[in-house]
Amino acid sequence: MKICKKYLISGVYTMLPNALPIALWGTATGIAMGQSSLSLWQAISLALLAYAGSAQLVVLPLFAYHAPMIFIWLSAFLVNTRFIIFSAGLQPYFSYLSLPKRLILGYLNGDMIYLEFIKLFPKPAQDYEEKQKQYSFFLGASLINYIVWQFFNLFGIVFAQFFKTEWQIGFLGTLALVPILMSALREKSMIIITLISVFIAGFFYSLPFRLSLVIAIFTSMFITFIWQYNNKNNDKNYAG
Amino acid sequence: MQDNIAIIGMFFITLITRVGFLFLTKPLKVNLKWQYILRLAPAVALAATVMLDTFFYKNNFLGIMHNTKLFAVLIAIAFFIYFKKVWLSLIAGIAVWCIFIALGLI
Repeated sequence: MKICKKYLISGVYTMLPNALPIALWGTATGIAMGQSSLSLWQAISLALLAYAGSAQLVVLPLFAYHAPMIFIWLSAFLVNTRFIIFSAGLQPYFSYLSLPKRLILGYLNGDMIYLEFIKLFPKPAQDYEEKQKQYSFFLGASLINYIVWQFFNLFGIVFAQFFKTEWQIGFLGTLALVPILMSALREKSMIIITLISVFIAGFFYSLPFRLSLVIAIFTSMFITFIWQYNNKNNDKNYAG
Repeated sequence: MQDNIAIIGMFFITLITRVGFLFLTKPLKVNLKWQYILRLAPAVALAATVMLDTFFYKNNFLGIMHNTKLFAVLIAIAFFIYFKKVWLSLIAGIAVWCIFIALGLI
């Protein structure tokens, strides 16, 4: 599969409005890592290898307590559970690619890339041209996400000492997520299910490893399955 | 040494979880209900992230009435609903938060 330059650039442009939240989050994560028990090179290695904001943050105290390795990996696995669900969404789009290409695309996937991709391409491509378009777009979007994230993550690590934790820079990233979230919630049913799921997840806020996030996703799945959406007319809603 | 091995292991954890179903070569048959769920999942993940960061700080519930974070989020939502512009909503939310910091309310 050859890369189509036009759609690669289109992927980059689509992700540009998301660059600010990614930059803010990347910086905040970097600062936390720079101020942790890890050495500068360990922090940089973790940033470059793990490429996972929430998982990076969750394992930091475990490194400080010298927790067993298996516990560190298990924690990171739990935080990343949502990506397994996202990969099921991507699989029908890219299953025809070679294993190395699927590994690269999968590794580079992120919450916002997946969200933008599914929004723009609700269905997997059937012909070669459309497949090339989707592949190039995803690659462009994920590469710009990776570059922006890593740049600001490393910036945060290196300049961690200049930031005060009480500034709560991470919350600026959260605020920047609000319009992205709002534009993703286009259907009434989606808004209702999301609100219920998030409300229920709120009761589990104290669970470690951001498990309440996974609970929110599973709750939304459960609600969708019990929702009375079985007749043909309502199936159109799912197709978006 | 143990930390370094743990860091390398983190690479494989990311790879395994993010690649997930992409390890399979046979295309998954995804019906309309699952298509809907798979479109909904990232939005729910983002919404849960916003909710957790807005209402909770270091495992403490921040409340509703005197929650400066909630105020900033609501302003961002209001700007999005009224102007339908991502960048305006983004600037509004961040501006409110920065004003709170400047006023020493955080």
